[in-house]
Amino acid sequence: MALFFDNFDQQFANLGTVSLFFNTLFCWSQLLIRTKSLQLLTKLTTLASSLFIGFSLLSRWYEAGYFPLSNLYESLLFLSWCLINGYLFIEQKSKSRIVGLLITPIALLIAAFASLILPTDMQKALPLVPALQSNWLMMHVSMMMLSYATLILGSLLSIFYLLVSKRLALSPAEDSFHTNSTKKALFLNSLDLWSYRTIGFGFPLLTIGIIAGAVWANEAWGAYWSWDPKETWALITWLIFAAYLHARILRGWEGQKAAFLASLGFVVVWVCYLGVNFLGKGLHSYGWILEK
Amino acid sequence: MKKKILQVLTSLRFAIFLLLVIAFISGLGSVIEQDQSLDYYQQYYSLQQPIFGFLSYPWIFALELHHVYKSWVFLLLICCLGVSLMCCTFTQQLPMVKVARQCSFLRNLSLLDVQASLPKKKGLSEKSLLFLKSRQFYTHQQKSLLYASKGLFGKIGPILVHFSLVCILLGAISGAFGRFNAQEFVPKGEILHMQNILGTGWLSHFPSYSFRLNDFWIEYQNQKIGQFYSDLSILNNVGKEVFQQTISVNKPLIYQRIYFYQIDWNFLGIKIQQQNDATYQYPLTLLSESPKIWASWLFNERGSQGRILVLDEIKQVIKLYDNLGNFLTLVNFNETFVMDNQVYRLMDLIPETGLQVKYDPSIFLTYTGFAALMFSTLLSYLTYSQIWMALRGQRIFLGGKTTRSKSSFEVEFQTFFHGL
Repeated sequence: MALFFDNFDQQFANLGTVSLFFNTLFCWSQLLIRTKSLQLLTKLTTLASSLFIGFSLLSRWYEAGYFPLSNLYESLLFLSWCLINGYLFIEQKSKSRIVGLLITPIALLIAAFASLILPTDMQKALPLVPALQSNWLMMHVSMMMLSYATLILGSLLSIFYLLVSKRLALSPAEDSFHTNSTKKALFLNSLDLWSYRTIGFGFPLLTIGIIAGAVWANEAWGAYWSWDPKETWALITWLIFAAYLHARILRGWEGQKAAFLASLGFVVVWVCYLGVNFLGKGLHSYGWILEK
Repeated sequence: MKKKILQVLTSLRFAIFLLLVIAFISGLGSVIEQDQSLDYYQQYYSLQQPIFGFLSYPWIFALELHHVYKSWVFLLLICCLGVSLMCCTFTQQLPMVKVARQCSFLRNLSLLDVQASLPKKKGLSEKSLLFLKSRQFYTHQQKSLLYASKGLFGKIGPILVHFSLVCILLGAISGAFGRFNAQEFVPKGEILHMQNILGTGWLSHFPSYSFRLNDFWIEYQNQKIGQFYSDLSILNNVGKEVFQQTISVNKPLIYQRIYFYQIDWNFLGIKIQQQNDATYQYPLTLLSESPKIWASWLFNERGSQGRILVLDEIKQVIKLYDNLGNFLTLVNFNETFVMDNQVYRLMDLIPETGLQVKYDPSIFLTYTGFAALMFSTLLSYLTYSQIWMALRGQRIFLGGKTTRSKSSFEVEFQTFFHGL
């Protein structure tokens, strides 16, 4: 019995990964087969994935006694969970199934990387090192992960917008709200809008996350900004998305130019989250691979 | 000329350009190691093997890439950003808020997001006012014109964002003038004052008191280190204790706005009692950083043997080796071992704590900027919507405009229109 409960949370995370796999499969199959039952299956597997991973994190929180965001494994699962729920919310509000097509593979990749590729000793819940024993752990890391999830969602929509608009050679800035636009132009408009709304929500979250990190650093070792690679890239992410939000106000830049900035932001978020940990130095290093 | 410069500075394109350039330079600083010695750059960016074919160390030093964040280009860009923020606020944002608060006349119909019209009917103005007020719109009526707006805080939000960013920048700059940073290692029982100064500004001054480490201990958890504790006392310049606190990681000591952080630790020596007689202190040498391992060497002049003592950070027990490196036994503290017919008793370890001392006089300004920024970015998320109604001849024309949630505004407008 003890053995079953030993890595209870990891079993649930693996279950979550499996159900995400079926979710991706069903979601993409909807491109070929359009039946109500397939739609229902997709919805069910999405909810199941969210529940499994959520339960995995909760049980980990209970077992280890601290908020489950202290290592790479936990943060990957949390990111995957945030992406799934973000996708559920947007799909509900926009009634569009495009979001699912884009997000489910990403969520699957992240969860699969966490459950299957990460070595098992990196998946264990170890006692917190003294530097992480602080209430700021909950605030800073959760805000950052939430903001990564929303910004990844939003910038992914922008990338898709660029791809579609290049194929259609259409710039909806001219055809904004005429009621007799073509269906495609409306679709592009909706993509653009949802990208803007999601990034517009992720940006304050990112701001709060970065500031929470700065305040924590100041309370822990007296320096709120030390140009650590992770801090620097978080700032770069913030600057790029600030540029995106401002570009949308500029006449003629909303549309493709702004979407390009958001697409750049997609790459930058990944570099900020994972890339810098492999650069080797700094406060956030996992020390896996040294750069040189 | 001045007008042209002002135009460029307040332009949005310039602001976006600034943001992207600062982002790029920050990125450079994360890829190229900062603040290293000349030898380091000569080794990794050598003339024989330049990165990308041209980036060798003379380039690094010429472009100040070894300390990007302190280079004059970067600081100039930050200044420009601050100026651009303030210019934008005063020349564009504040006037826009002023205009928005008043009844705003619609000039350009093409700027509208939604439009509709209907023939003149009785009781329309009362119906519209009721509806708009129920949806929390502020309404202005003037002859045959009705203007309603909602969510003015969404317009104020960006202004506050700009102000808080400037506040943070000012806090960082003024902090650079008055702050200081020091790191000290204090052995248990010893008194120290600030001597290992790492960074100061032009206007920093140091307090004249000293501090004493009363005790240092480690709490273990599941065979790993849980937390470090240091019991510190602050002494004034005649040696009288004025303040005392036990600190740990994430819980610093604060005295007169100076912060003492727990950042490092070490074992300096080991006390061994010889033959129930005198107690000697033997120095411990750190052999490895992670995990931390110390060693010491015990030697008796009369005999020919010696003992190597090895301590690791978790076990808190001494491993004894002979002078050839063969493992002999484990000895706990307060236990004895024999060498050359002499009885030795392990008494105690002498710990040392590493402290970071930090003083920043403008941290209050920076923290205010932080709080304001968090709040104002959330505030900017609110949407600002406007609705106009005008009577022209026998028809009433309606129009609406919103900043963010266009689709729900459209829905609201449709509901409004159908209700009339």
